[in-house]
Amino acid sequence: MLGTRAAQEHPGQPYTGFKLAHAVLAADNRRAGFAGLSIGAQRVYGTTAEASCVWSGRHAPPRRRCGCGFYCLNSLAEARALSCATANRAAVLLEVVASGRFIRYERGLRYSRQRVRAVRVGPCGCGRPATGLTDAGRGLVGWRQLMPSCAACAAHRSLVAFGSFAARLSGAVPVTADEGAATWPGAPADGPADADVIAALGAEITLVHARLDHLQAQLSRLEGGPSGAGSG
Amino acid sequence: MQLGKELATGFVSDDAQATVDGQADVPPDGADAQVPEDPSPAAQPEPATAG
Repeated sequence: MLGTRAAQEHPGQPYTGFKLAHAVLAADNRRAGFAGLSIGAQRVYGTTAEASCVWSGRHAPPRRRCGCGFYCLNSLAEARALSCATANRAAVLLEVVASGRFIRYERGLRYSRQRVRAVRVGPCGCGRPATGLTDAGRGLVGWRQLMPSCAACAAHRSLVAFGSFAARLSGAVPVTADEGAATWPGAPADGPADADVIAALGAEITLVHARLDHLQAQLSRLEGGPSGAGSG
Repeated sequence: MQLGKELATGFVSDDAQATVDGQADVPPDGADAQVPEDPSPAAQPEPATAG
């Protein structure tokens, strides 16, 4: 209702909040940053940033009756829950300090200034803890989007270690695996080691050869020829 | 992202950020580092985006 005004607050300390973002790596591999999940997905920001409204340059975010500004949640658990959504599976979790102009809601905050205080990387898609970030196959002009990955799933692709990603951010921000995230019920199914795979393939090939010899012997017999080469 | 009912508005400073800003760090993408993160320009009682 027009004219309804929320209480005015001037807290002594900035807020701490939690949000999701996509980790991005510059095309020259020298810089790293973050991109939002919705309209903010088209822009990259660093460890400190100030919001501006894409719809109107005439007001400073966050403005009531406009959706502009940064967003964060009060609850780490709620941010983790958001990361389960299909569109957010590749996102990382940011712990942010929210300041400047703000609008406080029941579950979070909309605000104008942001400082990323920590980056928590969720599990690899296989369920194992991520050990780095790898190319997500998406991106913006000049920026490749990354996603959490374990070493096994990264296979022969480049895996940006957490420390390497952190070193490319504009500011000292710890980047770690989100160890507080709930683990999958049950251990990941480890695949056989390479040597085991090779041995298994060798056995399969031997078996195929034997069957081919047997078939060739049968074919020769049907054609009235010798009973088959190599059949003894 | 549904944040629920609006409770209050205000302003708060981040002294630590002022210190960070004073350092020689460069935002990754200049002016593009300023990021509004809501997809819905329409007037609404509650924000409705993840961001």
